[in-house]
Amino acid sequence: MDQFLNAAIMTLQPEVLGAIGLGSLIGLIFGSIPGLTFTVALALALPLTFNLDSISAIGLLLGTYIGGMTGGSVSAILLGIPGTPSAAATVFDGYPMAKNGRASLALGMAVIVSVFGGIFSLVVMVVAVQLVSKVAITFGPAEIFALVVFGLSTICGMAGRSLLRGLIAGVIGLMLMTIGLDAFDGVQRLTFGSTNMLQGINLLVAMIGLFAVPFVIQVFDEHRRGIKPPAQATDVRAELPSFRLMFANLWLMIRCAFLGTGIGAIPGTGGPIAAFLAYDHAKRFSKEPKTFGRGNIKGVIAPETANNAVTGGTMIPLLALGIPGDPATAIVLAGLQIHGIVPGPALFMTNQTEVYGIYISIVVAYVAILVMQLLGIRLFVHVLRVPPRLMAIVVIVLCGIGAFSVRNSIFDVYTMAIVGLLAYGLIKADIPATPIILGLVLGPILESEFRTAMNLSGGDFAIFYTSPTALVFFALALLIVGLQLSGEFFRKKSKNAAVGTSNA
Amino acid sequence: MPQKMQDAFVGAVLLSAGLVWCVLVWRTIPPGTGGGDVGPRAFPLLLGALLSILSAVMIIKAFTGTPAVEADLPIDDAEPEDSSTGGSVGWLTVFLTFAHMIAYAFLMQKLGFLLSTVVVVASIMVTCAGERSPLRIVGMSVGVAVMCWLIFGKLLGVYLANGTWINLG
Amino acid sequence: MMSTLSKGGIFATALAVFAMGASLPAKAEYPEKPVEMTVLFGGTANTIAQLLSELMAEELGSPVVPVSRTGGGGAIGYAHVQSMRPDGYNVVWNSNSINTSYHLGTLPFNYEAFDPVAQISVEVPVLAVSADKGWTNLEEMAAAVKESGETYNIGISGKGSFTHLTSVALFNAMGIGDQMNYISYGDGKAPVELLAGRIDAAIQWPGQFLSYVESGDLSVIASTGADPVSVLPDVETAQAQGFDVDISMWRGIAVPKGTPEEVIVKLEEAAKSAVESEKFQSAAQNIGFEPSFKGHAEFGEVIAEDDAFYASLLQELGMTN
Repeated sequence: MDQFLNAAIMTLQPEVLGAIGLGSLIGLIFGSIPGLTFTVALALALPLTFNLDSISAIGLLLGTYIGGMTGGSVSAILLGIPGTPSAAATVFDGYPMAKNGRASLALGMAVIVSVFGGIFSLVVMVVAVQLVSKVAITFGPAEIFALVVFGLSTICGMAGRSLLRGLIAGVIGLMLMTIGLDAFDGVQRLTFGSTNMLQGINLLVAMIGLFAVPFVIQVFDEHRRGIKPPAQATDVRAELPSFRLMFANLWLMIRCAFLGTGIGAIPGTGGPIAAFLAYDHAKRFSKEPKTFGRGNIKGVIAPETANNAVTGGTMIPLLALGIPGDPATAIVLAGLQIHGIVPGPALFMTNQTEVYGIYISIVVAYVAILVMQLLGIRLFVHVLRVPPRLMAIVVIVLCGIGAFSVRNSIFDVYTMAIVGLLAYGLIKADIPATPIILGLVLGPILESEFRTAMNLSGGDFAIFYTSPTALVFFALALLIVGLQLSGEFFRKKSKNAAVGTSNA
Repeated sequence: MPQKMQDAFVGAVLLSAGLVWCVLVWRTIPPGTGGGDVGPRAFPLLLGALLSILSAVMIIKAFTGTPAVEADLPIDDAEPEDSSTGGSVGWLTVFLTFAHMIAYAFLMQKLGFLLSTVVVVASIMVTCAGERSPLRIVGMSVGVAVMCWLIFGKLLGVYLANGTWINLG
Repeated sequence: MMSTLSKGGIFATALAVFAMGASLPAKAEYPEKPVEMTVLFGGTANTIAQLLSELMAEELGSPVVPVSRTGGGGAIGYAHVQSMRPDGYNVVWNSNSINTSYHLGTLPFNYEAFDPVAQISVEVPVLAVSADKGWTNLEEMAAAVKESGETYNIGISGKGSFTHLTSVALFNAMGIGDQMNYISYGDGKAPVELLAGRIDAAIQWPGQFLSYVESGDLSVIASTGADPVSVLPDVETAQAQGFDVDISMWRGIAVPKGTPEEVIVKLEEAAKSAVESEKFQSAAQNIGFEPSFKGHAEFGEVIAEDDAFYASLLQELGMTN
């Protein structure tokens, strides 16, 4: 208890609070601007922490991380371009809501459930960090592979008109990610001898191209044809979600927060899977699944709760095991290390005060984000008043900056343009774009975990079917695919029957 | 039927892409060290094959299948409806936008962020956004470039591209 | 707080963007514009580079901007710097990867495309095993492995990666190389996999194992460098245990071939005082690497020696291109 008070006193100093607030603001800015992501923000924030004391440094980094995760929903809702891969699932219903003039409601709900998810996962972490980290350890390559397969099965739910087209999109996403240097064997794949191609297609760059380029093309196309933007978009009221609406969805929020925390705790998976699974879950258990994709607020609540619950989840392996779950948490890890805080099992014995400091910083960061973003909504919705063609120009420039800044590579700006053109072509051909992003996100994990597992077992597939955990996830994936197939089959039947009776 | 024709065409394009991919993968990626290892070739090859099969199914469905199911279902996808059923495609717009992005990448490397942004934004204003007022064109292009340069480059410390020919910023 | 941020941002880039690209002859008053340091990897490499560039900037009186150009196992960054003008304004934060990536065939040129400036630090891999194996040194491990005759799973970062090559060299020296099955993981996952019992041993960086050693879950039984690592002083080197292995990963600074001598000397001096600074030394202790400064001539010899060593090791593994 003494240590907790100590930590509280240390954390609630003005300069520490300032650091957390600043971090949250930077994170929010980077997260909410299409093209820029919080991984870049964290890389920029890291050198700033060298000159800070350890608690301020932690606060700055955690604030940036959490702010970035939360901010991703802003451009997903307003422009249909996710600010981070974790916010890609928010586009489904957030963007239609904005088009229907309910942007501020979606934005408000997104930030509130984000804070809920984040605090929920923090509570889980405080209560059960040792237990959860023990469970997380049992997730080896075979189990993570199974989990990723389960994640891929959500393609069914977002395939749009036909499962076939969804699968094609997913496979294209998976294919794109195999280009470049294969880290496992040090072999070049489809690089055609070009050094630039060695770096492969970066997930963030591909995501920018996938969502932003079709957006820009569509805006210019409409402008050329003289189509006026819908009137509702210019009339935005600052409408915030009511408590009734929140309570009505409390159970959904809790389930999605659990899901996010659990998936976040497994190293190497992270936000996007959690968000897609949560969205799929919300749609599948909804009484009116048809309204999803047309502005159902549940389609915003589910992914946004889950992706922020991931923040607390990833802190568990980070602190308890010293394992960063993604590039962003790897930078947080570096920041901790440079201040002499070595995450791992011994941390909770030797650095109790810092651990409490981390907990308190997370709470402060969420409070800061809640305040900033609720105030910011009034500002954000004005984006919708900007004439679309001017917005499109700004988006091009921001995406240019964003694609370049991921790896400081011009190659990535070319990649963005090419992936964008490809995506536009596919959308025109009725191939849905979102399964592509799922393939992009999950492709590298799917392949590497599979290969590691086979490597471990000496080429024996038994490693997959002898693990109960893996079997559970395979079964869940099968269940989802099965439900989808039977659903399509019955829909077809009932339609034929309907046609038959009307003809008669 | 146009829908059928479109499906068959898309399927054919994807099928040939999948087959070309497979050939390239087969010819350029070594199979791996053997033993229990899954080599670097296995996944790309499998995916290429999968794409070919799926697109073949798409072609078959286009000729024999029941397109009614696909066409009548409500679109529960996030893509705006008008983008997929908009009829004639503004291929000129597509080309212009794409060309500008490629030019942006090229110029960014040669002229640096600031100059390339001014040039590209001005050009897009004229060609894509149909802007004719010189004042607005200059204002927008210089404004966007300088604002981004100040906010991202100077305030937030994002590394912006430097030019190799000349480098104003 | 705001001032810290804008100072950092301005410091990092303002001069970079104002300065005209077409440089005057470098000899005039080097440096008269910011120096760009290309960083090839994330993680520890990036953290050290960011600190080093900050400290070097103080010495040079001109900003040193760390720019991360990752990917392709370092090939992207090397190719970028190699294509730049040899005027000292583009330096690369390099490592043994210059040797390995050339011999693996991902780089079309070798270390001779660069002039060495200074070695900065050394990271020494250590061998960790699960504590319940009961092995306390290499001798015991070698005996137990040989006796069992079974195959053991060893965690590495990837085929041809530095940890892979170190593992191969060490286990071959111990005479148990044939019984080892190398499992590729991404960086950082090996300790957990070891803890969960899915692998039997792993060679990784000392910092990754520190906390586990403290908690008693893992034991580190050897380091592969010439001297013991400072964060785990009780761990004996492989050489001290009678196995002739001396591999460690150096990191240093290099510039494109043809950079004027006086520029190299200037950078070398700045690097020297940065390494000797208290801040760098304490960061080294915290992150778990050894500061180890070597001047450009000596550094050049180290690189050339290593190049021959890795060439033969990769040849042995059949991984050369």
